Amino acid sequence: MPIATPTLPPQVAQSPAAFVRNAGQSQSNVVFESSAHGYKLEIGSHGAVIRKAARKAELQFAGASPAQVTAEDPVSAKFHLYLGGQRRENLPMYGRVRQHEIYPGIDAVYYGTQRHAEYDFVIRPQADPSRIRIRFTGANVRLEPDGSLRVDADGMLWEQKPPRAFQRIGGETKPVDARYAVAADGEISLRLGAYDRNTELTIDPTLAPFGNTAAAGLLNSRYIAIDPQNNVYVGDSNDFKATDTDLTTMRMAKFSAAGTLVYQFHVQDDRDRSFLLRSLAVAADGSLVMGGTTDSRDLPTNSNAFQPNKDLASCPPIPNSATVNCILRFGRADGFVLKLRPAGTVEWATYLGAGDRDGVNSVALGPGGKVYAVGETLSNFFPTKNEFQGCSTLPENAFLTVLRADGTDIDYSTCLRPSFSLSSRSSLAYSVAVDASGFAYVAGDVRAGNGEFPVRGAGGAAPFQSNPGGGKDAFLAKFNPAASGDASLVYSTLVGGSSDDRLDAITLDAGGQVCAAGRTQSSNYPRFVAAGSTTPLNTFRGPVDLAVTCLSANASSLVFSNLYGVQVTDLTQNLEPSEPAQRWMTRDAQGRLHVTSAFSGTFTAVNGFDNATVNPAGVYLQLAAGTRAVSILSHTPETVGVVATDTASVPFVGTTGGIRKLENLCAADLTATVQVIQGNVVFDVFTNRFRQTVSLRSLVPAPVPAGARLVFAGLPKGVAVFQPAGTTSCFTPAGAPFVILPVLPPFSAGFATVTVEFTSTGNAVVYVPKIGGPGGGI
Amino acid sequence: MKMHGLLTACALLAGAAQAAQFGVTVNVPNLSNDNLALVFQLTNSNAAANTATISNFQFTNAAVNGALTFQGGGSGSIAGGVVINDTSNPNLATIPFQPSASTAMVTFNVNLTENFTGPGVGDFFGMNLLQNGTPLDSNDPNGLDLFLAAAIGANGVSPVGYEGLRGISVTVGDPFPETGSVPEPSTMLLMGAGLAVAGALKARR
Repeated sequence: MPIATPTLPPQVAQSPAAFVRNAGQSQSNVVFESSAHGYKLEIGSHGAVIRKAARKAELQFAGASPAQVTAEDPVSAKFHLYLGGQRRENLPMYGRVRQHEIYPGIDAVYYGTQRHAEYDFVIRPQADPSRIRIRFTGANVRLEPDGSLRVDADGMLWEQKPPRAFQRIGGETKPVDARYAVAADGEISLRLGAYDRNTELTIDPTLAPFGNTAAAGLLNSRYIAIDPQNNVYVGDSNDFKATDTDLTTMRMAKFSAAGTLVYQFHVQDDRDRSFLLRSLAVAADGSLVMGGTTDSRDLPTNSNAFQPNKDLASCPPIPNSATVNCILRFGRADGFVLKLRPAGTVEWATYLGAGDRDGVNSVALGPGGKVYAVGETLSNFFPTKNEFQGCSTLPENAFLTVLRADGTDIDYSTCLRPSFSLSSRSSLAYSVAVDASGFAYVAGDVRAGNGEFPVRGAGGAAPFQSNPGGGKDAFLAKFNPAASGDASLVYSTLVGGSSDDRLDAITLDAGGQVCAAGRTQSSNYPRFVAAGSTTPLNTFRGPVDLAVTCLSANASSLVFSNLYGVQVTDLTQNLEPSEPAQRWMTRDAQGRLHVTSAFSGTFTAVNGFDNATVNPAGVYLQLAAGTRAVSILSHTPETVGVVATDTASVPFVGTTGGIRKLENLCAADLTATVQVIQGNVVFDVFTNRFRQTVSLRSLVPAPVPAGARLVFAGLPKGVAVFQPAGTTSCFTPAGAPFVILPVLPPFSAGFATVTVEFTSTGNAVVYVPKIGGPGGGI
Repeated sequence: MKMHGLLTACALLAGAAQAAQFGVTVNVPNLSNDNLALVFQLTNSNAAANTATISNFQFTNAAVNGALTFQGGGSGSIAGGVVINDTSNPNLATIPFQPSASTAMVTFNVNLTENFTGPGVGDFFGMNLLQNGTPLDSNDPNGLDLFLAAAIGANGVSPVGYEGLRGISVTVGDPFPETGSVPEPSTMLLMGAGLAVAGALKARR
């Protein structure tokens, strides 16, 4: 079963790891640390600790002296630390850290890439390398036949590759034989071949999580953004001090398109309160807006922020019981919005909330740099302005707030909720998109009775669905923040069937059409494809299907709505109990829509595409512009996050295991665009196989890139392709063998030929050639 | 035997509209006393049924030195004609022989039906030369060291002969006559009919 190739974006892959001095963000025994994409490395005076998520391997040097630790090779990246209300901006970062004289005449030097750490022993002339004794505290160490070390530490496997030793003599690098030796107690020493003791010797092992590839992200990298210059922003909220569930730290890293780390941003509560990052929006100039929920008082706000102080989040200034109740609820979480400058320092930040629990689920940037935020609030005193509807004491009220570009005030803020404040009613807003005119499009869900939720079409038209279908229903709404009151709601419609439905990712397609993705448990969820469309209308598979719905401009009808169900369930897994797991959606430069969703359970089929049984945690759909024909993109075994595309429309997704580049799970069918000329099938009396030469060329002026597949459809029983590259899974027909093709020349440039061998137990070697596009699975 | 041979020749000519008929000359110089073999194949690639009949073998400065063997669909004899059909895959007929001089030659006729249906390509008739069980090299562009190739396609058959090292060559031309004179086709028909009648009268007496 093909799985996404865990490919990092090149910007991240090329960037070396960078170190920063511990200024309080880590435990006191850490002098320098590096938070790379694949691991975190902490260096103290007595060795080092390498971490991946909540697991670690402690590297110590037995018999070593406490070392002086210094940093070398300053890099251009800066570290911005906001800790416990203190700001330390533009802290220098370095490419290497040195522990001096761990043994007489021997230093340890640390550096690395985004994927794995490296450390060298630098042995000065006449120093004795036999004194080096390495220990992984509490770990089982095994010497592998290839000379590497397999370290089982804290329930996680690490690999230390065979050491490479060398000396530079007369301008040349001369290798020196080096091997590990492991004692019965796990202590590791080095065995060296002959070398010049009057010249400095370098011994270079490499330490990485075992089987580490680009997917081994230490940074829980679910929130990503790519700006128009192809700079990549990677962030999440995570903690390395204790366990994954302690969300005291929120991080962001920016990698330039050239592969340079630009900055690391780090905000941390010093009293173990949490930051929960939920959304990113990047501006064309590289400034970044972050939105989420926090119960920390340490959000780095300025005094002129809209809500600079969590404890002063709005309560009615009336000395009565309502105020007391409001004060008592100060400890609840508030939403927050934070803006970073292109260089990574905080430009402004604000809380967004009131006395009770509030949270921001999505942020988007509008004209003039205004920040649009949506979420839910339990606070009837949630700040509103020019509102269509005030907030109430409902269990949850969906809200939309438009902040000024400098975060000092709000220009518009409203709730959108059922009219009755009953505990059985609620509304939540999950996602917001903004068009060039500043109109806001909001997706969410609502539980309400008939006539309780505001619905209307634009310009007096009837909305697509006025009444609830049953259970929770999804809603789509459009607001004009420049208007006030009733006029500020342009349209609002329900979308749903008889069971629970939700739309939680929204985007505008190339034509300005609003499209949203979500989940439905309704077998009668409304579906629609345009007359004459070749896109099949999928049936509900259940018990929960992924839904994609696009609405007409006046919200009175559907433009497209289809279901993508898996065999068992597509219920999302919650990474943190307080977070509703959701889908993400974006539009690429070619107008295609990309949807990511987490899945749990056994993934055996998605409508129209049958795959082998696996257990994924993320699946990605790519909907072609216009036709909305869907390609199933790769899936990964981690919980998925934001999907973002670069300027070449290449999709990347943030996951709990790092950023992944997505590839087509089901290859495009190129059969109609490739000319295939089959040669005769001839029996080779020497090899006892049947051989055939096949000539292929593209039928269009452009070549077909290497990696396309020649699929042998309809081979009779008993006839097999001797050297297939694989077998099809979701490409028609399922199970047929295929071979990988080289570049197929364009029409005028001749043919590429491949030789295929078959074995036959009697039947004719005959098949229908089909061509699958390159990339990923098939 | 002679009558039978005349009848066989007539049958070949009469069936020319539905089969390709051609003569093959195999020159094998400088392989005296080597154990060689002719390996014929009819490879099945489509639904159309085809048959290859190889007959009128003449060995010059060479002789058969083993039994005719078949793999897959095949029947017949060297003397009476070797028939390969595409009921299986592969379909092979192997004739071992040994040159006795440096200028050995083998000739034979091939009658190959031309039935073709799609999809894909048609059946294929070819021949390898083995030396002690190993195929001799040829300049066959297929890379399979064939010395004779005849693909059955929508446009019929165009047989081709190839060359090898040490002067080995295979050429394709008109079918060879049976050993003896070669009358005109119409005469052959009349002669054959007359002979058949004469033979039947004789048997009745």
